[in-house]
Amino acid sequence: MGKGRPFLEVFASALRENYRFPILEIFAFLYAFATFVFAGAQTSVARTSEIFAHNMVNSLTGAPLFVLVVLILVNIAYGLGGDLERGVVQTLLSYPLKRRHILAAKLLSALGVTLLLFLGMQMFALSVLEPDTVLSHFNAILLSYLADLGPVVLTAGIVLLLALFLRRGGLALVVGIVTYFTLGIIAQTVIVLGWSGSDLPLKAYGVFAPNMVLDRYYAALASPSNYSGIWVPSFSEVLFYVGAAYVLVGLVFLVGFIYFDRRLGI
Amino acid sequence: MRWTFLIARLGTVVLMTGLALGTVLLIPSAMRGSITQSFYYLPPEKYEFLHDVSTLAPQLTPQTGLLISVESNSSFQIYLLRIFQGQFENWTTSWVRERFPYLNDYEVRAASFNITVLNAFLENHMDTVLWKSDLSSRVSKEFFPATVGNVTAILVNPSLSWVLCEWEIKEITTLAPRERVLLLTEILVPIGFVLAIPWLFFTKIRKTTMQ
Repeated sequence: MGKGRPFLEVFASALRENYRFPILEIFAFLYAFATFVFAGAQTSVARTSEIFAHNMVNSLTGAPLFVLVVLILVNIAYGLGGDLERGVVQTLLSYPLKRRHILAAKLLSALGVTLLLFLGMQMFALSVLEPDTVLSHFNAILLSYLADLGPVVLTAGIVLLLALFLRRGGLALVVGIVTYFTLGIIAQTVIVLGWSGSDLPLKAYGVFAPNMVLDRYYAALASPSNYSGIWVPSFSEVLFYVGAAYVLVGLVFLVGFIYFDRRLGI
Repeated sequence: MRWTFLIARLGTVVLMTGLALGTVLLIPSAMRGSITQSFYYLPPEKYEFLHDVSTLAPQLTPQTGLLISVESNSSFQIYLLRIFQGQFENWTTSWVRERFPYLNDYEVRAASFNITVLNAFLENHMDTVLWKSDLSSRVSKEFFPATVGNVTAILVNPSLSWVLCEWEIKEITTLAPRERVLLLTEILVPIGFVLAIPWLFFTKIRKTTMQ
């Protein structure tokens, strides 16, 4: 028996646990439907540039993004933390799979499927609604999604670490929600500080929330006069921030994998 | 069995996506802005702008379209062209001026409404035709363009007699472009069913065996 089959077994079992029928289907329905509703609400915006593409993504990632965060955090906290709490992980460890592959299968279901569902539905609906915008500004759309999802995936990584360290699903979930909420509050505070001329907090916090940096880049592009005298990132700086955010996310997940592989005393 | 399960879940997701699109279709388009209505008494082999659509809806989008209703005592045709009305008029008047240099401005303007001028434009700009109605005495059409742009609506009388047309145009808005969404719904729902059937079949067999 190759490695693929046990991996598939763990993945399918995690998928069944995270998304009991028909939860995944209900979310697919809601994501698809919500995308049309939220996109339809802003048809009057000028559609000439990549600023429109970015604004379009921003308008779509309001409530659906919040639902995505909740879904990911619940999946990781209860899916993995709950398994650790109840001892189900020991059963999974009996599979002929390396520990890191077991964690990968669990994360593929908890995080991968959720992100794929979210991005897939949004991109699909966008392609139906604005095929020209998607074709001509695909890079801008992709960058906007990457930037918007940065804090989400970072929070997911933090909840993963918490679930592994605490081995308590409920507690990890609560701390995760608090973390995400706190990140949002800090973002707003930093933005206000940025308007008052102090751009260092914004520059530093941009690593955790590159969407803020990208938003400022496009906002300044749309109305340069509003941003005279305050820090406006260049496009290469935006790319740096998005890249740095994902390096940070990669490090957090790497710590999680190493801990699960070597340090988790089970 | 795992593959069957995974493919089936993919199928049910595809099915639900199709149903979501179907639900979007159920939401009727709403009127937005004003209604413009009037009537024309169209001479034989002449055309007329149905309305300066650009004043009603400066730019049509996949979600912002037009509801055009025309009734007449004889057959007519409607063309929806992807062009700004001013540009169309410039082209037709230049075309007439080139061929009939002796006409004055008033005559050029009058001649530019001949169906031959319209046909000449269409021959040279086939790509601008967004929609063309069949010859009919009654047309009601909800139109949403595939892409954003200016639209010019033209009413054509191809017959050799005068035609009285009463028309009405409304700017309408919808959640999603209906024709595109309908097509996708028709594709996604059957695909979703096909992918989900093996799993449902096996589940049924397993339940029957356990009983």
